[in-house]
Amino acid sequence: MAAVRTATLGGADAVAADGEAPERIARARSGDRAAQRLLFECWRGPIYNYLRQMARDDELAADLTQETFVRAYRHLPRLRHEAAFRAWLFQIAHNLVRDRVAGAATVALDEDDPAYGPDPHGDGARQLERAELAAHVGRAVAALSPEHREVVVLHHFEALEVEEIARLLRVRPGTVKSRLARAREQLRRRLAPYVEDS
Amino acid sequence: MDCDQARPMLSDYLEGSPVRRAELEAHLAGCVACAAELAALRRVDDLLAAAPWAEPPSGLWEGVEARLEERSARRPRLVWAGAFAAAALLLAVLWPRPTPPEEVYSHDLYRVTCAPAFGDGLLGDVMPSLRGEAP
Repeated sequence: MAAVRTATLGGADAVAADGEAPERIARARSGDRAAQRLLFECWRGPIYNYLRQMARDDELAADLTQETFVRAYRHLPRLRHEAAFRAWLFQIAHNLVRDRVAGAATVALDEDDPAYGPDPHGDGARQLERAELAAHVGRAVAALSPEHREVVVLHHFEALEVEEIARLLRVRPGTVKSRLARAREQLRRRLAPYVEDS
Repeated sequence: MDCDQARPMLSDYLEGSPVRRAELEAHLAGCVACAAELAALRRVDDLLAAAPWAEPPSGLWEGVEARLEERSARRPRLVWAGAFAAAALLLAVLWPRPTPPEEVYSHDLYRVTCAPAFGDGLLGDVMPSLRGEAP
């Protein structure tokens, strides 16, 4: 099962509770700007982080995040089931990044990336240790092929189920599982000092 | 079940897939190496779950709203442009056209089109000889 991140992710479980409320999606569909903004606030983090992992470019990720929501709201009347909103949003983001980045998403992560630096609210050696570990994890994920990185990001970071990812990528669930297994094995090798018993 | 069969199943096991679950668990109970491998993969999942999340830049919503407004403002203009194009097409189809002249050939073409304008000019001099007529 995908691990749903809470504190670090800004509350993916809270996102799921508020960001998929059918009445809010219905209001957004009718053009209610306030409802559209609330949905945006719920999903901007997951969508931006997914695009950032796939595009490896912060500016492009920000631009594609905006375009994802513009397209989503323009075509929202076509969405038949409110419950499918999250997967549909990721589908739009996936299509956009696929068209714009097309196979170029293998650039190594910038080691000075502030997202992997120490927590400014923390202190001491423990903070540095955690920051170093986070940087290693970030680099290991960034070094995966785009296909493997995408399933890892969608499953482990965004908490999408295997079947949802399969529908999104238009592949069989078995293909998603096999990509997850290969990605896990590569990450396990790259992160060996952190995951093996000493 | 031996280790070679068990290892490829560990990732699916973490996903909760039930395929040969009992057999795999029996193997894990007696195999330290495979149990350690499963623990390592589980820690990979834990590290991914704790990975940091980048905060999106501020001002993204304003950009979304601006693009939505821009497109909704553009839509009425597009509707008017479409209506104008349709009206122009309809007018072009229904507008009465002049009757095309009957088809004429060779010197008759000259007679009909050029002679009235040029009279006895250059072509007027040449055409009779072309027809084999005496000047």
